[in-house]
Amino acid sequence: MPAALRGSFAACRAIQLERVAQLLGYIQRWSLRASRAVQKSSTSRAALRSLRRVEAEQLKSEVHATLVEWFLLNLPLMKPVAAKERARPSGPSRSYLKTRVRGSRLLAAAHILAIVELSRRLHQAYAQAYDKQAADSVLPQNPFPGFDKGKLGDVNKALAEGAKLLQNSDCQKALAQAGINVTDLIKAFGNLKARPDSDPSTKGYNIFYAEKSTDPQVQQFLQTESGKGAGGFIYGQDVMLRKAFFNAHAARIGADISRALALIHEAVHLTGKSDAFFGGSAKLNDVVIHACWSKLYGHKDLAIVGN
Amino acid sequence: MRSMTTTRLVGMTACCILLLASAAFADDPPYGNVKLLDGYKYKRSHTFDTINGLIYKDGGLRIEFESGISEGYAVDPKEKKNYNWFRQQEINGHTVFLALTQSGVGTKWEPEKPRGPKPRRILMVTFPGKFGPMNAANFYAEVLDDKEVADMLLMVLTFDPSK
Repeated sequence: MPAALRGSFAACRAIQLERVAQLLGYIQRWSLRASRAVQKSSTSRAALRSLRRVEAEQLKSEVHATLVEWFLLNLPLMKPVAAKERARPSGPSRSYLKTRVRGSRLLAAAHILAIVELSRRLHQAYAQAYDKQAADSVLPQNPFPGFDKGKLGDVNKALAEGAKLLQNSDCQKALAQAGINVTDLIKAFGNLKARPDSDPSTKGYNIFYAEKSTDPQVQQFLQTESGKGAGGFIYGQDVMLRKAFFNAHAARIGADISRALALIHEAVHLTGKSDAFFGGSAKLNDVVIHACWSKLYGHKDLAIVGN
Repeated sequence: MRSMTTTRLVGMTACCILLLASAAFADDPPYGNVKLLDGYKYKRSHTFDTINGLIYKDGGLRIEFESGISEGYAVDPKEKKNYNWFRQQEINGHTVFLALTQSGVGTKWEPEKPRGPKPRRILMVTFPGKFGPMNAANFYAEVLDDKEVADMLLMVLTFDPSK
């Protein structure tokens, strides 16, 4: 993972931790005051009277500032008489928190509210940290993309045709004469499997759609002259295909067979043989075409070359 | 006064059209900013997994170029024994392998249009790439004399593999 990316993750985590710490501090202070209020409210009436008015007012204003008041008034925390008294515009201004609310219920309410508030703020922090727009520009979302139904059909058809061609003994013999390890080639070709874009997992697949890849190295390669011109290429032990693989034009060798021969060409690379080994990429195409399709045709007859 | 302005406008438009037309009909710019010597031309092409080019002089030297992620090294330092001459150099921060060999001995490459009898003298230059062990850019040419060797090296060594 690039250092810049690791830095972004660390920054996101630091912001989250800071927010959670702030929240926990707030909850701790609030719970402490609530506990003190509860402790005092549960003592005798005389002790309650001795509670300093300033502190009570402070607590009351804090409670009013949050959703606590609304929450308390909408839950059966008070005796009906107290609720009536509270609702009455005139009359004696006695603190309902001090005198009427049952201590244990207030503590329970404080805990519930704390949990609700904590969840809300955590969700907010998470949403900000993993904002989709930011994630799309920073994080590698889909390094090995799959194919839509149409393209997947083309790749699977090419794989089926290629497997048929490689079963032919003349094809195997000619490839071996050109210096290719046919056992390795058949094995490498047989292992090829294209990823459908409907499957969220990349496991078990090794043919991907390079056009949509967010892999930094693939993107970097696609910016080079070689990458821009490629219809497909080997990336590690995977085959990455580009638009040109699917945009076949009229040629002497049909689209499906051309694609099958191109995949055999790439599978030869998977066995460790480069284009230079054969004297160039076009020469390797000629080897594959002459061995597995027809000696009358050559590299320029492929439907996916030169478009 | 008015007619002069019109004449100027027409002139400028004609110049613009001529410039655009000349750009459209010009030769392809070489891959990797290769600087061509006088009298040489460049043609681009590609295969399924490589980009290709041809630096050529009518009736003279023809240098074939190929670059790709699975290209492999035309000049392999492990194959020194098969080359008449081998050199490794660092040019502008990029490693370059150079070798002079005979066709069928140090390489399987054969020119598209052979100009001399077998065995042919083949000059090859390899620029290793950074996208995997087989990523490289290779230049091949059948060279008939020392002048062609010099021409090839003067052009090919201006290649920038980072492009």
